[in-house]
Amino acid sequence: MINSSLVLSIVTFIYGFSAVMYTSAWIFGKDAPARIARFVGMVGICGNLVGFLMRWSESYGHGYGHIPLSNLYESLAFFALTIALISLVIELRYRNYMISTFAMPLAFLALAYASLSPGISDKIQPLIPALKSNWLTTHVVTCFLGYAGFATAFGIGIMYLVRAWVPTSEGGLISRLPEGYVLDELIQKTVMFGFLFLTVGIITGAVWANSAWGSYWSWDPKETWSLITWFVYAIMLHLRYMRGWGGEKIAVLSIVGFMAVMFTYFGVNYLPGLHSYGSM
Amino acid sequence: MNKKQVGKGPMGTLWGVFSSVRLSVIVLTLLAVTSIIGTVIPQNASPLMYVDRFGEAAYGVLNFLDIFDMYHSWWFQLLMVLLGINLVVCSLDRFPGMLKIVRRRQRFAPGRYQRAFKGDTLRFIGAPEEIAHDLSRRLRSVMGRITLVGEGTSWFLYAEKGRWTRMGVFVVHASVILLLAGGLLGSLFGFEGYMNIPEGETAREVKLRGSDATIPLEFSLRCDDFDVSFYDTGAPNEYRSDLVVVEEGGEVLSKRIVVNDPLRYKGISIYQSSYGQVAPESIDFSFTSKSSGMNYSRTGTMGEPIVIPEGLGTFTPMHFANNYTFRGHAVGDTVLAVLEVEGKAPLQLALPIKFASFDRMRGGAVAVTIGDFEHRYYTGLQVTKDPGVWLVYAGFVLLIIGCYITFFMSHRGYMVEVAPVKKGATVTLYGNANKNKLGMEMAIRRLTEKLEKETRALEGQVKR
Repeated sequence: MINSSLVLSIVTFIYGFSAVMYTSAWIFGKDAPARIARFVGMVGICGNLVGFLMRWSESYGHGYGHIPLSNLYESLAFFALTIALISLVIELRYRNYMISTFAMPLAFLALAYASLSPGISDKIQPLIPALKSNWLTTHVVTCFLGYAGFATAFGIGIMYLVRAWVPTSEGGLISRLPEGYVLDELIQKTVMFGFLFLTVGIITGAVWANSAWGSYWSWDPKETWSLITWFVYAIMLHLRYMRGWGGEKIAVLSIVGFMAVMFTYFGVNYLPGLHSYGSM
Repeated sequence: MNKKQVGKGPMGTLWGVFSSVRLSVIVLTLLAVTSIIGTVIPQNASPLMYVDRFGEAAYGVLNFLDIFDMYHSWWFQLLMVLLGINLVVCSLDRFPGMLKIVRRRQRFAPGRYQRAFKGDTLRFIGAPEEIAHDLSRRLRSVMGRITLVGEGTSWFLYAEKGRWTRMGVFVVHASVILLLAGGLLGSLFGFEGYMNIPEGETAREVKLRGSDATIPLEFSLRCDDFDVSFYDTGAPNEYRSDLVVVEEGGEVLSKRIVVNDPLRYKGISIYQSSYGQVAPESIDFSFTSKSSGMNYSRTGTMGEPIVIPEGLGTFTPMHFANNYTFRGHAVGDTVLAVLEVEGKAPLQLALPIKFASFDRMRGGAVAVTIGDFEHRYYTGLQVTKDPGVWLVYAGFVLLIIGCYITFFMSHRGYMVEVAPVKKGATVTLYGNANKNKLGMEMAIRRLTEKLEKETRALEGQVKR
């Protein structure tokens, strides 16, 4: 029987194929594989969206309908969707497929982790009382848009460092990466995008917490880690704007920042608190 | 880094320190790094647990540094105060200069666009003056109000947009100050506590969190009913309490609250946060003798000894515990009791309600099972007062607006140069932006392409 888990498993392979095509476009310096990769990536995004919507409707079949953003599996599926979508938008806007070459593998990994890891259950579970709120959608969607922005910045940061540290040969792999200054500005743009949405995500979380538990901030590990992440990127933006940092230093910071994001997302599950995705 | 220092001397130096971005970066880094501690070491747990985990000596040191309640420690608060002062001084230091920039009249000099992004040069047919006037009409929708300046034989079009967006960063900083002020106000004049009210009873005292103190509310709360419902999977679906506010003997307000829908009255918010079984007045016990197989039923109350027949001893129910942990396993509500048999040491018994034959596993001469008792819930309510919350919310709104202005809007300047050549003029677009220079570059490129296309359509020919 076709269900959302099956659809999302298939999408995993579609993303994987798209990532492979992007990489071969890069390696062989040809445009044709990139065009295929773009098309396949779009198919993947549609499939990902269909899987998301199917899961939403399936939850109604179980008698407790809710938006599929309530556990690790569902959040990873949504994370993959946002990464793929953002990288494709940047690709089309900047007419350069290299961004997707580095971001599509991340979308693939996120979904592969969700679909294949034995520790992650794809069962549709009912919402516990604390999650029953209209804030759930806004809070989770904005947080993940933020995460996706930072993930893209991370991919671009890696690209920048590869370009800066690996010796370039005329017509070689490295020379096909976008110009350093373009990457530099893209890191900044994606970080600003991520920062705005992380800010909105933290704020919606705080307002929700205040309406659910009577305290907008309680230093729960997830809250604290999201604030740490916010601090890291705030520092980065200040260094950039006020101290003129750029290039490699900013690329390194985009990677450090993403480590904080990843810890906020996954690491916190191993710490006590309200946000751990329970038993996953 | 800011350039000017207000005067000299210690005040000037201090001002210089507090208005520096270096201090902001240091304070933010310290906040980020120290915040990690509290996510790794559980906060506000019992001293026993800490001693068990870290040892006596380390506990002493860590406790001295307030590590176990670090987010409320003097040094963490000090960091936040430093951040606040830094923000205020920074903003005061830079605001006048920025205001001057924002208020300054636009200057019309080609030199200002020397380092701007420059588009491809297009060639138009016609008189330069006419072309310039025509362009200023066509570009108005994109560039805003255009000023035409003639210089020698050339014409220059100047336009500017979003000068005020340079103020966005002050909006962000003001919002953070509001957040800090709101937090401070809440911690000074607010409180956070809880109260447990059994169904049918009325209460007024709030136990404060993190201390043994209680404070009375201005009104009383009665819990008429509590209910918990479960999904088929056994996971909780909804906790709800029917609450009534009683003031001076009269019922003022009644509301059914659930987890995400609190009751608010006179600045106090009351939230559903937990529940439990009220310790029953009396419980039916059943004693099974191992040797005779006989069952004896008795009704007991806490602290009252029951003598079991056949000389099997004296049984005393001592305590009704919610969510009892038996050898590391959560066994739920449990009756704790003592069994005394002559000539033997008294025995502690745990009798979980959920597992009726639990005591049989002990393999004693008598097995105790729990029969009927009156089931009554109490509702666990979180009670808070936070007069600073509106400042914080205002800060939230400003923060989002400020971030949007700062990140996605910029101060953009345009210049179009119309220079005469034989039978026409060359047209070049220049663009400047204080942020998102790549975006400006693309905008100029697209605008140039668009102009070229339109002109080609108009004139039926194009020359580059």
